[in-house]
Amino acid sequence: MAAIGAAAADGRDRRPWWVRREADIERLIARYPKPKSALMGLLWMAQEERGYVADEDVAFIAERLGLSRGYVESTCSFYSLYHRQPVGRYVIVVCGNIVCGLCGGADLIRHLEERLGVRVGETTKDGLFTLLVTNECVAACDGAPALQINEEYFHKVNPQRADRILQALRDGADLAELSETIGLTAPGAVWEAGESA
Amino acid sequence: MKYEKVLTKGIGEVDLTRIENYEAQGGYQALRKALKGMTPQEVHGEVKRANLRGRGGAGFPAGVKWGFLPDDGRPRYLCCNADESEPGTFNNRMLIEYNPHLLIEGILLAAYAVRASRSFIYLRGEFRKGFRVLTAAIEQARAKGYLGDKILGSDFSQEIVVHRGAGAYICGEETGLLSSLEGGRGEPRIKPPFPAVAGLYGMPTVVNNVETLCNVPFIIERGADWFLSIGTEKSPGTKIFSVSGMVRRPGNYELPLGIPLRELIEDVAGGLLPGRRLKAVQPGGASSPVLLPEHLDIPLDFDSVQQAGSILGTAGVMVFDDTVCMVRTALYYADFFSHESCGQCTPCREGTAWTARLLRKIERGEGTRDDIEVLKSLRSAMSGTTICLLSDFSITYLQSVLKHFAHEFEAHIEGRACLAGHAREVRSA
Amino acid sequence: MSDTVTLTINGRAVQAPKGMGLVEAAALAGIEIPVFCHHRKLKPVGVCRMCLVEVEGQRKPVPACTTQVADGMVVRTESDLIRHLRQGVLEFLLLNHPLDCPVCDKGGECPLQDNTFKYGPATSRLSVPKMKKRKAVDLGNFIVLDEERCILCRRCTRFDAEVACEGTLVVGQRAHEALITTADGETYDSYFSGNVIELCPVGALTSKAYRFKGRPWDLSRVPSVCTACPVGCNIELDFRFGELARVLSRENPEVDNGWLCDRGRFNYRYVHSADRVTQPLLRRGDTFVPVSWTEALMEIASRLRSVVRDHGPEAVGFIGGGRLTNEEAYTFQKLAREAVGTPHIDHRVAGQKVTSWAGYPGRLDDIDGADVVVLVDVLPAEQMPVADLRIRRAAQRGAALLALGPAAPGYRVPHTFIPVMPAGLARFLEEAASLVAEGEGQGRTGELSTTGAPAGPGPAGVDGQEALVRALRSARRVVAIWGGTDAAVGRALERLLNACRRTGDDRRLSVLIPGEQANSRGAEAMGVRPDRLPGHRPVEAGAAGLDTAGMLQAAAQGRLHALYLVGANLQETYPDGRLVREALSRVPFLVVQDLFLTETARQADVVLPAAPFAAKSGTYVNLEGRVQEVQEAQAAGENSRTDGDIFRALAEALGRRLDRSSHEIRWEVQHLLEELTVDGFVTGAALPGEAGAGAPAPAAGTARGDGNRADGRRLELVAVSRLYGGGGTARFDPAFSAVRPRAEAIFHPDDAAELGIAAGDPVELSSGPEAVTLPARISPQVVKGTVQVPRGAEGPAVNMLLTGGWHAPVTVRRRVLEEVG
Ligand SMILES: Cc1cc2nc3c(=O)[nH]c(=O)nc-3n(C[C@H](O)[C@H](O)[C@H](O)COP(=O)(O)O)c2cc1C
Ligand code: SF4
Ligand code: FES
Repeated sequence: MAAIGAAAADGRDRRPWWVRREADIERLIARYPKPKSALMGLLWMAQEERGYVADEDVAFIAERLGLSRGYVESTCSFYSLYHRQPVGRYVIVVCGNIVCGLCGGADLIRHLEERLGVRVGETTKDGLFTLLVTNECVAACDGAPALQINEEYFHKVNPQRADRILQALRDGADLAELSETIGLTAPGAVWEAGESA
Repeated sequence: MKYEKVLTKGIGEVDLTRIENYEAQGGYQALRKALKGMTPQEVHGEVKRANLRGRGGAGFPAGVKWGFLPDDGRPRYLCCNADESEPGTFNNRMLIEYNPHLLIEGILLAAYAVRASRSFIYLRGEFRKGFRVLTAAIEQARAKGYLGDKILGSDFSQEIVVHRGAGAYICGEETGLLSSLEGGRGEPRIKPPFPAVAGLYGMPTVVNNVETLCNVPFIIERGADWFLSIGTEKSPGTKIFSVSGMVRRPGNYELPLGIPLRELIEDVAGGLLPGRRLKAVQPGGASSPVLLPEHLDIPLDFDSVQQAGSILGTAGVMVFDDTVCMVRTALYYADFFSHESCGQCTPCREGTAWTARLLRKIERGEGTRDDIEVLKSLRSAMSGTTICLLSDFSITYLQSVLKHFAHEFEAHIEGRACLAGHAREVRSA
Repeated sequence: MSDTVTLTINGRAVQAPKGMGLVEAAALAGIEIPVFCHHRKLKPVGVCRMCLVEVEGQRKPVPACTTQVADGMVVRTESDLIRHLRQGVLEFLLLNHPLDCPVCDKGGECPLQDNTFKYGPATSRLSVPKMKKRKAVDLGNFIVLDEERCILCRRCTRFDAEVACEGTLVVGQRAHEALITTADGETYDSYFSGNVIELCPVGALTSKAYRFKGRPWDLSRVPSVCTACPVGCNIELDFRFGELARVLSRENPEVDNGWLCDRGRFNYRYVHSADRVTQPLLRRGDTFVPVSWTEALMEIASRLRSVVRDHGPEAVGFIGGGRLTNEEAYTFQKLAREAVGTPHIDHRVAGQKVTSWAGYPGRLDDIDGADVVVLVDVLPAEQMPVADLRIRRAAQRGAALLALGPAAPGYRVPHTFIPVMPAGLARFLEEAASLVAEGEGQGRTGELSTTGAPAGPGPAGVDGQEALVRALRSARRVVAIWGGTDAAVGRALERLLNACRRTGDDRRLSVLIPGEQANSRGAEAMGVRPDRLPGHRPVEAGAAGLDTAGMLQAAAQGRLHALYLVGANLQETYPDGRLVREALSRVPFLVVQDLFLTETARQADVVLPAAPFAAKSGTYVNLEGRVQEVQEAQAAGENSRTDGDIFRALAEALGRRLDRSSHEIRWEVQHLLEELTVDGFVTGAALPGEAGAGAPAPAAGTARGDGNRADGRRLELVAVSRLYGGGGTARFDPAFSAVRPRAEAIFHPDDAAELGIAAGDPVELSSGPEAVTLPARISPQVVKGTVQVPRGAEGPAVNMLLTGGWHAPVTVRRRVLEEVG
């Protein structure tokens, strides 16, 4: 886990994230009255850095906050948004709760499985997409059926819109921007939506 | 009928994430007013007099809750509950994404009133955009002197920490929220002691919902009397109703409490889809027992909805028309609760899983009458027997549909096609 | 304000102390409230919901485990509602439970089974298949988890977090997928893991050693005392048809609090090991031949007699005794002093100099009330594990825990480690004593030029000595725990404590020394020392015999003609392997009395098979001076004999009857112990003075100059205790073969970088002509400038590099692998 070797020839800083981002880490910990509270924030950082939380991240976080690895694992595994295994670059999470489910969500899941060629829970071979379904309502029922990609919203995702989203991401579109456009996140489009379900 | 928008004013018309726009429509005036001319006690007193009832689901008066904090010199904390995960509820998310400064102002006023040493926003992990918006808004507010040391030249200082959750419904329960904020599993804690006495890190703590806190600036700016003039006598103020399901215009609608259910569905939300008939309505999220078409004329306030046998809860109003299979609705919730139980209490952990398995069996047409009897009997074993209310929540809706839609369960058991005509669906959960 | 409250339970008035939980209060009145998650030694969490009761004025039933009694409280534990809810909880718990009671280890002593009989539903209403979970999850070295039987009461994880303070075993996932687990890539590695088996209210956590071995009703139970370390935890030995099947705790709150370490709990299978020596063995050239006891004893007697005749009784030496009962130890020294007539006898087999200390007598429960605990060159977790739980608890509740020495104690609880090299330890303490005496800390900033080690994992920016002095100045109750290996350190520690005492009379200052063997203190009190007779009486001036080092040197130089070792595998345990090798090969006659054919026993002329602990009755003295008695639990077995019986028979063969009966020995020992007892505890011996009588001579004669290895670097070799190391029983126990420490050289990352050593590299440690090659490991836990090795490890014998103490300068080189041409 030692920090060996700084910037490599290609200009990328290859040091572990916790070395590169020490200042962020310190700031995060300082926000709380007790350092332990920074645990979830550090897990988020690890996940932002490599897409999932690796064993060495658990070890680092435990060490840094003076906790046992078991404690960190116990906390991490409680929350469904942390991944402990590698996932695709885009993690698609379809809302599987009632409103989305009744308003086309079930069809959407089948459509995505078909288009991506994977089952729910799997990652496409090119490593681009992981398809998941959540039991939690994602608080977008007025835009049912809804899904999130890396926690960015997409509403009223009918099969055609789903295809456009996938294509745009394959073409390298910016996820947050895409969410604001195709995703129909602008108010009026979602709340007080005129479109019928 | 046209009602005045309060919390939602400007949303969809101007970009309120820009602090100038928020200020232009009167934002941060209440904070200025309080810090210039009101003591914390006076701010607290005004909120108490306004009878601002909690919008997080329980309807407990915020002013009364603030009064429970012991005055013993220990640090106090304010937590804004922005974990909004109740199925069918999406108004907090809108407030955060489109009116973040209102929430910040509300938090600052509440923190001032309860003399909090630090404030936290427990933000649902899924709200990535909300996190961006809030973080940016906090920086804007800090730059303008609304946040940080000696706010607006007063003696009042405050920091707001945005804490991102990571996918767990139970972190919306106030003590689960505190466990999570402390860096642990979001497991609820036994009450008493209540958070007001021993909350975050064991210190006196107030937990309030986003919408509750967003009301505070208006109460301070316009006075409790103004607030009391809206809504009903016991449920004053407006409420943002999140309407979803089989209506023409699902969305968030801010209306005075006490508006009739019929008006909400038929006028505001555009009514049902063409050719459909209303089957049932859930007025307040996953755990609210069904209301039937015969209840369309009840006023939507905390007490009236309770009298009708349901709860206003989060005012997440879900409308089911005649295409909906009620067995399946129960199954959705059962899957949800059995996934979201924190797993501490035996009745909740085991009961929610058992419920889901029985309902799946029934939905597939493999159930028996005994299974229904078992489901009915679980009410007593799962209500009032656990640390938090999730266990109770998980069973109330089911009991109401078992009662009002017994024939649909019968149909599934007898192997007849689902009355709503749904194909059997195998969900990958 | 009164300290008791009166409440009503089921219509009966009950008095209970304030703050007591309802479960306990009801028990006082003979009313049972069934529980699963609740355990009186763990903080109540109220998760199983079995203990729900009705309390008047409460809307909902409340858990009795987390509810405290209150004056005037009205409680109902047997209402229809409560009975109904209990049935509900049991129904839930049994839903997916495999109901495999007939093959379950817990069957017959299972609260789930018992509560189901008493309170449960008649039949299961489950109409879907039971949920499947994993059946035999290997959690760690000694434990297996059956996830289907687990009821998630969390007793195990709470023990690990609250009592062991380690947090390795945790709850993972959530909802019905919740399970007991560890971090990915970790196992439940703990010296205390076995306790969770006893805590588990079902058969989810089971012992690998005991699994499927017995049913509770087949077992006969005998109370006993653990002899694996000097704490002396109280245990129950469960025999199944004469075979020792398991070891359980027999709670004694003053000693063990109901906990055991894994060594004590699981290290029993050696008793029935096939490797045991079961018959006396006589050397015939290069081999041993089994002989009868008579023949063996006659042989020993005749050889000893001729040594005495030719060279005098002082040509015979006796070593060992720390594993014996007091009665046996007493007989042992009688054998030496009276039957043979030699003063050379010593129980110390592993380099310890001091095993007890009269000056500041300490008790285990002193730790509970301490506000400062100072560890001086000692690793309590390795040397006195169950007592370490008290230390952890003290630190957890806010006591200052400071550790000084060359090796860090890997605590998870708050503590301060002050790295100090062994050679500088005495001076470090003396300087601290002066600072305490001076009465103000700010005057001097500690100058640690020579005494303080280079900055190791100590607290950044805080001077170690100042931290110690500051803690001691404000402390009311101080417990010092010391390894007892260097008498000069002991004297410096005495000075430090004296200085503390002078700053206030109301202070309680105590010292605990973990003996190197379970009954080191008993052996010492019984006079198994060259300088002391039974009862700590000093021998006449000038009449002191040789200590262990002295005897080994004498043997190596041909001055000792017979050596008798009892439970002493010196080749493994003595910190000068070369000296042992020379002594054992040179001494003309060697007797070894042991359970196994150890390396040491292999060199003997006669091997006498001793019986294991369970065959003995007698008394032991634990590290705090507590006398504990055991009864024979098991016959010695056809051909082994207890050590005491062997001594008596040998004395007889020598023509000297030591006693008329074992009763008489008992009586004498009891009398001796009573004389030494103050306040119920056996007092310690005086610390050896600077040049005091009997102060063992420094191990001269073997000092070797270091050959000039210009290419190497000098580091301080520090050999540390390991609970599972050593030359005794763990080596011959199948359950311990996997956990026995492997010999390795552990370096601080900076030293490793400087030496160009990577993990796994072979490195050569040398001292003089001796060299040992070990695989390298790198750990920031190791103090810079030292190379750490485990004692008594599997692999090359590191004690070849030592000269009587557990540290020595060595030359370190990376081994360049020779190319095989
Ligand atoms: C299972 C459960 C989930 C809850 N989820 C939320 C939630 O997502 N948001 C919320 O504000 N309150 C939620 N609550 C209610 C909170 O416990 C708490 O009452 C509320 O945050 C108080 O705020 P208020 O008084 O302003 O309404 C939940 C309660 C339970 C029992
Ligand atoms: S009722 Fe369920 S969610 Fe609430 S604390 Fe108990 S197990 Fe957790
Ligand atoms: S014993 Fe009280 S809840 Fe488990």
